[in-house]
Amino acid sequence: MSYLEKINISALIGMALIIAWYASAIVPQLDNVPVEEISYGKKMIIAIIAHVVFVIGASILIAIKDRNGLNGKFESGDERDRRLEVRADAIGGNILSALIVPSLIMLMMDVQAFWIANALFLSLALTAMLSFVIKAIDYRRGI
Amino acid sequence: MGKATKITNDIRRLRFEADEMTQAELARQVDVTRQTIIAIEQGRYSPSLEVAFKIARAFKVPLEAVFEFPA
Repeated sequence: MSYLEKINISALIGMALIIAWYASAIVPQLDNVPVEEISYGKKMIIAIIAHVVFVIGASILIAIKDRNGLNGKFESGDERDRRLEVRADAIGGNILSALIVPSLIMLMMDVQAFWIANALFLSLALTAMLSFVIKAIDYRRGI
Repeated sequence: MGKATKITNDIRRLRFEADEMTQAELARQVDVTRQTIIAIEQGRYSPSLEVAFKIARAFKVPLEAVFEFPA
């Protein structure tokens, strides 16, 4: 498994954990707290920053563990990595475009900011996860 | 895993004939990762023309001696 493939798996795991944490922090409140009183902003920012920190941390740990290649040269990405990235990003981008539409409709209908913000957040998170999954499959199956 | 490309190659045999060149050594010469060489050998990745030519040059053979596209 190449370095970037391992980073991709780490990012996928990190995103799944972050989504699970965010959901566990917000969803239980929907039963007994009015939506306008749910504090989601800070948790959303924490989730985003946590994912970035997770991926950076995982990258460093994997880089330390995986210093392979000739003469200890660190193995960075090549054309295959770039091609997989472009393909996953293209598919993810198309999916994101579709997922944004419900948020736009909610905005036009003056739906509460809580739902719009979380719809957008979920769109971004799911799109990112989809990209990670596509790359993981392509790394194994080939393109 | 099924092959992702119809292009076949003889890289494994050519490596063996080239003093048992390792995948890592071929990767170094072609400037790709070892995993990419593995993926090419296993038919899971079709390299760019540039990389294909570099592989052929590493073995000092024509491109057609390395890669084949079935009719």
